[in-house]
Amino acid sequence: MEDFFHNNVQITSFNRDVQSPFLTTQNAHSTGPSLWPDFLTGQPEKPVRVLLIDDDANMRKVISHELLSDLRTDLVAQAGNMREGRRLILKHEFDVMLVDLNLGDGNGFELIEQMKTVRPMAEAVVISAMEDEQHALHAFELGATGYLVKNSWFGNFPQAVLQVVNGGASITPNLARRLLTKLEQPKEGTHLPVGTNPDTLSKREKEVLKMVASGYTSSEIGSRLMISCQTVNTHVKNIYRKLQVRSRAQAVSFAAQRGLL
Amino acid sequence: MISVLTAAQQGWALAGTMVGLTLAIVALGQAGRAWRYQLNPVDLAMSITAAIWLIHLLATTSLSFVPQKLPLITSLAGYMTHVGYQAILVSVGFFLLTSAGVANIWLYLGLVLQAAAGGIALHLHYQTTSKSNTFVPDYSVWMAINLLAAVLLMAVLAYRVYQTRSYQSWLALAGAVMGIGLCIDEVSLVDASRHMATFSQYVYAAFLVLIWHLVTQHKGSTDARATPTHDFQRSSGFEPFNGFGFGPDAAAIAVSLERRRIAQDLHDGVGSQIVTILTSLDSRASPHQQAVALALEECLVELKMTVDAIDNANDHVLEALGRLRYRMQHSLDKLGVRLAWKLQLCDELEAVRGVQAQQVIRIAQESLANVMRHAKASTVEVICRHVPETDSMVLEVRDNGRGIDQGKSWRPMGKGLEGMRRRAQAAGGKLSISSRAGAGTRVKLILPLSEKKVVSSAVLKPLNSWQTNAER
Repeated sequence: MEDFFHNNVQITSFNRDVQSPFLTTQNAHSTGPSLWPDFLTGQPEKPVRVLLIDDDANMRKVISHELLSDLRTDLVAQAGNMREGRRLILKHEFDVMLVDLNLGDGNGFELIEQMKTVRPMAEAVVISAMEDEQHALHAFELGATGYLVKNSWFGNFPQAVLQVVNGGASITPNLARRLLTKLEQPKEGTHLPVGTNPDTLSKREKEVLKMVASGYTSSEIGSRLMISCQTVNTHVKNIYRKLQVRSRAQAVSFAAQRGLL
Repeated sequence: MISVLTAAQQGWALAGTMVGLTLAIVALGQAGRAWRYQLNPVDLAMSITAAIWLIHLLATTSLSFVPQKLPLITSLAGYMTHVGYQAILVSVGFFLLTSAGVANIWLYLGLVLQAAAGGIALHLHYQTTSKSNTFVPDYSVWMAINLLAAVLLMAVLAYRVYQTRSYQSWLALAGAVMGIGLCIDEVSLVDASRHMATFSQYVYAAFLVLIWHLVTQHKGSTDARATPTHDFQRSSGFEPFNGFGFGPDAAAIAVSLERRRIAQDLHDGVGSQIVTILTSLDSRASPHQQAVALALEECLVELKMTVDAIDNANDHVLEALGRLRYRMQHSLDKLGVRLAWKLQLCDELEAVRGVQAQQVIRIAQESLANVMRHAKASTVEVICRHVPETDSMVLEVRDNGRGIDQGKSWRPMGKGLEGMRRRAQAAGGKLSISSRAGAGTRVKLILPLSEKKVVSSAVLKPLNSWQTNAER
């Protein structure tokens, strides 16, 4: 099968089946809609609407084929460059945007920013050729919830989309380690006492990050800390939120320093 | 009107020229070599300036020995001298602009324009004077052009200083100011007979060489490649164009950037190739193809671990193990091997870093690879814990597979086991492998964390304890 040949995408955090380590939502089963619980978002009668922006036509073909053949997901529109992407974001209603970072006429980061202002409820998932924590961190800073690496392993796009809309949060050991160092270092210009600062890590969050960094999966972390897997996800999402708050605060203080405000 | 130089004057001039020549040759040689190795535009500008200066010096010196009674030759000499001056002025302008890190193509075109305008002015002047057979030194048009250009250059450099406040631009500005001073000096002391460089010109030339040394950080006049930093300046050769390329760790940053680039190339290039081959193999096909696929996957894991190690050289052992799991989980899943992950998170283990941690990871990786290759296990357990009594780290990889059959299976694994033992020794630990046919294999590494406490008794536990563990 020709399509299958190109279907090589590593899902950085959400793996395909239940025993995979970096799975973040329970019961995310890839075998088909029949096993998909009806309380989760993404049912055949109301599929998850996806917008796809990637400059690689072949990749678009693979992804769109996958999304359309899964009854739980629907492809609303697709674009091959940044300009078209901007237009589609304004024009269409959608739940998840799959966006490549390297677009011919710009980079996906700008599209994530635009999407988060125009449609704050929608989720952004990056599909990138680069497996690089710096890029991933920046994407999460801008509000993305997933980061998939092309040309690595095999994965499945409907799965990634469904997990994101159902509260899954993407994290890898490397990313966790970066987050730990990034969020732990004291920020300049803060007046709040430690602990009350809204963008420093709580003790539990630090614990979760440390466990992810040393290879534990969400469900293993859940059982070790005696919390549900969903709570682990919530912790991860909160950490990303703090990252966002922090980068915004830094942007503001940077602007203030430069006299831009 | 024109006096022949006296013998004393000629002697002085000769001495000055000799000094100038040596300086110019040294500067040319060094700058040329630096340009070839580092592709820094400042070096290029310096070599051009030094070369022009050299030619000019040679030309004017030889001309000064020609009897200057003949007006034709005198006018030719004046012409040649001034063409040389023009070339020097333009090259100095080029040098100052590159030193300040100005990267504006229009400014460089402006220099070309200056050269052209100066050349035309000189040529017209030469045409008129050579026809009239009387030599009238009147270079006012030419001087006006060059003074205007010099003032413009100074303005550009002053703006550059205002923009970047980098000390290279300050140096270049100082060079430009001194150059203008020299030009005005020349204008006010117009004397066509003086073909040879004056003392102040030598001082100025020396100053330019100084600027070049400071801007390109050639410390002293030693071989450019003798200091280690120079090997890495190639990658950041155009640093002056950024305005700030200095500081002691510029080289360190360059090295780490280069490492990252190599890692990225490995990952994106070789990695994606392997993935393409992997996807083209049909996993349901012959056992031979399956074996190839497994080997390729190992290759990919190996590649990614190498890239990871480049990216994160100073991670502690727990983080490195985390990455190992992340990399290998997919292969284990595909083989249907369940991985039980039991890491103790504590400060003592977080202190194991660097080369030691890398060796531990390699041992764990090799053990897991052996499980996938030979063991036919359904479960593999990775345990890493701290033993406070002996203050040591214990890493165990154990499976419930078919174990090592003493007779046959040792051989294909032999090399890998030998490598693991070497790694354990290098890390300062001890490796023990225990196995029985049909009952699984256990690889155990004990790594003393403090030098004082000697670990010996715990190395070889009786096989029975492992068996009971495996049966549990």
